[in-house]
Amino acid sequence: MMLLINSIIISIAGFVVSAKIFGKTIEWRCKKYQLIILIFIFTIQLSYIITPHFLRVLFNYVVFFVLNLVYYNKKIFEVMLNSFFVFIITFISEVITGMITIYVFNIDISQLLNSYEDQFFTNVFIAIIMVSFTHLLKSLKFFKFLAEVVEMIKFHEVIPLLIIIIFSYAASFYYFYFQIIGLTTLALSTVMIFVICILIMILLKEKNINVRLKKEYETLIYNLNEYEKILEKYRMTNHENLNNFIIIKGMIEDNRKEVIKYIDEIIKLKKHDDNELLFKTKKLPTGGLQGLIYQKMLIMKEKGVVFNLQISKNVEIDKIMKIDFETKKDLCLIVGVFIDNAIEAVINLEKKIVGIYVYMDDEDENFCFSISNNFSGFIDLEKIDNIGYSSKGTGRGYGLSLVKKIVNNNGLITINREIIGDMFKQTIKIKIN
Amino acid sequence: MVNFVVCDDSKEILNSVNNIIDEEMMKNKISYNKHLYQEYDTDFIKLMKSKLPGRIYILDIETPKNSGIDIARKIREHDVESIIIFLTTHDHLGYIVLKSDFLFLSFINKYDNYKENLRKSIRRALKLLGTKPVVRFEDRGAIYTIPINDILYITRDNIERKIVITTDYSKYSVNKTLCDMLEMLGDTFKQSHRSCIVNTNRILAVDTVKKKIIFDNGMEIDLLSTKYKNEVIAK
Repeated sequence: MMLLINSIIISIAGFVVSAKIFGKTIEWRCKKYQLIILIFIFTIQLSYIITPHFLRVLFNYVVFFVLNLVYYNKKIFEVMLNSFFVFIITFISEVITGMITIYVFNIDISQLLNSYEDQFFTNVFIAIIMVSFTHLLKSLKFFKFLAEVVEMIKFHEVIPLLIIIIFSYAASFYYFYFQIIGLTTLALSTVMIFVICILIMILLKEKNINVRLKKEYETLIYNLNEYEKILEKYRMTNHENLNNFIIIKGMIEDNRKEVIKYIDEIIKLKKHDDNELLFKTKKLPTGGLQGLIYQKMLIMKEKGVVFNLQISKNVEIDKIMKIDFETKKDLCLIVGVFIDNAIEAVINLEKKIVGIYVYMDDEDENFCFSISNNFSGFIDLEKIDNIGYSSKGTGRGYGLSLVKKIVNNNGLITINREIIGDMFKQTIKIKIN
Repeated sequence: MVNFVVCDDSKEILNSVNNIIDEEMMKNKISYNKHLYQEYDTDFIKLMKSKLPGRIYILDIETPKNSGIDIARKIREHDVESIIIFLTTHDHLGYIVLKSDFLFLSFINKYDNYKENLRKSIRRALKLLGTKPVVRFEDRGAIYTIPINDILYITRDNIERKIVITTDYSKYSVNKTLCDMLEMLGDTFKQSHRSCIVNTNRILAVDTVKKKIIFDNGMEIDLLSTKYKNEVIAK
């Protein structure tokens, strides 16, 4: 009977935490919800009968995951990771309760196992800690952050880690627990918490950089849409100014040669500096890309990089404008990363050259965007997409791993890489329907 | 046999280039053919895709319908050994980028002593024809096009199970074997050590006592074994 009550307490606490992580309200009156909790209570009971000790946690995790999957109807991976976090929270709560039981109340583990009343109070305490801890994490917006991270993580990257952690914990915990070695169990649990925390921190640190980088580029693209409108006005004003200078020049008498010379210099400068950049980028599609390229070209100019923007005559803006919004956004993001990397690669070199070449391929099926730069030093193209791999030192190399994730998620985009002597060229190809 | 493929929308320029080719080729005892076009039309594309040997392209960078840069890209897609010379109407700093990207021989400004510059370029092109200028290979989806003479030596990385190609300007790590590379690169490359092959054209000196190879750019390596040293020295 006491086992049943304990199962009910832990099951309810588990589903409360689960609902909090998913950001859902708990629908106690919903028949489906009640049924799912009942099934879980039943399977916890069952696990005591049919599974060996060390498999119990794994068995309960699988059941909990399946029930959450059925109820919330979300992506498998998302449910799997959220269920994992429920187990981590349970685990942390158990360790805290264990420590309090042993060191504050001076109750021995063996005594605890033999007394159902003590177990009841312990489980109530665990449940309270679980729910409180979840509230704390929620107020820290941890789960919102987790949801963003989940979007970036690939299924196969984390699943072996989850299985190893759950399985090894279950095996070792139950081994010591049922050998009634209280202190060893506690030490082991503490070590496990540390290991899990460190693993999660490493995982989140890497993904956090990717999330932040993606957000930065997305904000940039949004701002660039506004920038493009200003750019169009600037083009018109620049054109008008140029015409006005030519008209004024015509009005000036021949003996004012210095004035004419000065105006000629302004016209030449304007034509050389502004017109080329402004009118070349005009051939690119709007929606972020045009503004992005213009902005990057200004940066390159400022940094003394020799650059060339070549837009093929076969590029049809109308066709490109038909590319869906998400793909256009992805393209901007990738182009942004590639150009930033290109600038960074050449900035400390004697010869600084960056090329941007936009064209449609032979069959006019792909819109191609190629970015090239010269480079020096060691390059391993096989490792270039790996998180944290960079020839520019530690704490770098997140841009290309972000690009890899975008390409994996967008079936229309492919990336080709080429090394031509001292030039490194990356070509983004977008399939046009 | 040298095949000159010329394209320029201006008839005057086309005739002028035609005469310059004749004048230059008269000085050599090499047989040659000329293929003249005013536009990058289907005939041009057909010729471009054919297996004509010893090609020297002299191309206008802008024609009314097409861009020479697009054509150069298409040429390079299936031919890295032909030589490309571009005729332009103005100096443009950005052309330096394209020159590196598509391995062009030169850009010649039509309004700046172009006849003399074209003659010089044709002479350089004739010297380059007949030699294997670049090596191209694919490794895990990435394409490598490296001027052979830029390669100094290639070593084997036993830990990564890859080879490292060292050039004047950088090092590339690729999934090939030294044997693959020897086959691709030809006679000028010799084995100096069981884990190293060297470009004999770039060797300045060989120190057999200290077992060192010194290259013409000042770089040194100590991968010279007794077994292979004679082969390296003989070259």
